[in-house]
Amino acid sequence: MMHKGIIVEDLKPAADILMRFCQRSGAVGISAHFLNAEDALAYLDEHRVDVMFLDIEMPGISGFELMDRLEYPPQVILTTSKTEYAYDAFQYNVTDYLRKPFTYDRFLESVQKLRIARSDVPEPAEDHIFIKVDGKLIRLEGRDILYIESMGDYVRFVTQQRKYITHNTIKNIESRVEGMGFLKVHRSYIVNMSQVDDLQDTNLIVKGVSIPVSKSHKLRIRQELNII
Amino acid sequence: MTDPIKVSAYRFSEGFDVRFLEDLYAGDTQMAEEIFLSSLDQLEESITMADLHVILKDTESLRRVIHRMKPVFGYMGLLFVQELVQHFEDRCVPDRRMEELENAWHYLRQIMCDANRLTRKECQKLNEFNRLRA
Repeated sequence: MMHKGIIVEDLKPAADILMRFCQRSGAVGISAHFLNAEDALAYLDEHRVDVMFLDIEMPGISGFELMDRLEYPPQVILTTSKTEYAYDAFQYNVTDYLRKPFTYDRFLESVQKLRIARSDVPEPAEDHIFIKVDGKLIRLEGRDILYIESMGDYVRFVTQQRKYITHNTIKNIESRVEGMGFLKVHRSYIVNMSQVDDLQDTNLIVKGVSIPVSKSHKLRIRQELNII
Repeated sequence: MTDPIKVSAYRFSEGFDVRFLEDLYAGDTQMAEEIFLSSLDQLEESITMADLHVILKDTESLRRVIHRMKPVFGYMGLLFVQELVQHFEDRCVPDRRMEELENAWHYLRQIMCDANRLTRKECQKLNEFNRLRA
């Protein structure tokens, strides 16, 4: 299995070596190389990759700041010549931390971890959730929910038949419905992608209801909808 | 017919961390030559930048340039120089006056220039080897 990756590295020899290692391994195909984090950020806004080889100290924003700004970061392998960043790297839950210069064998160890991390992604097992409405637990089948809307400290679940309001946050709900075919399309909306009828310029149409779409989510939506 | 064992037996010169370079390039002398050349370009540019930051007494910018140069010596198999660079980088803290760093910089600069000469020589050797093998 070939992972799609990018390199974010301002040091040319370091990027060249990494590129060669990726080619030699046959495990990672590099689609782009960036000399700074800002350019990488713009690219990741439009493209989806499996792995990012990321330097930390670069001109402009740092590798850590880049990770902070990504809503859906890919797996990250940090490449740095400083050991002092190891603790922060751990906090960011990166896949691996390569200290420059590293050998090909060490690089392969990282790629192995990447494979493990990918196969560790849990398969969606749940097809329902329970929500609490007026003190009662209500079971909602994932396939019945059209979309979920944020209302500040409350969240509205909209199904074909009716609407349910529960005390919760959209952020919390997002993690609970992950893997059930739902996608956050806007800061206030999570949509059941199997219920989408149409994608218009800045809106998704779900059973006749128009849902706003953020620019930053558009590419992911197109991928999820399998638009060719 | 060319003997493949003889052709693949490139030996890096004394002064380099031969074992590390063999691990790093794994017999890919073409890659070694390319990386050595891009490392030399990088270092020459960085030394000029570092000189400028010393003149401007800009310790943080000097530290950044030094940090960037550090792994390049590793790619050239000069791990002891990389350690010296690390030591100097650690001294480039914001409250350190440039006057305290200047002598150390000139000492390190001399070592870097010697390392560059050694690497340039190795580049020629690699180039000859690669041409013969082509």
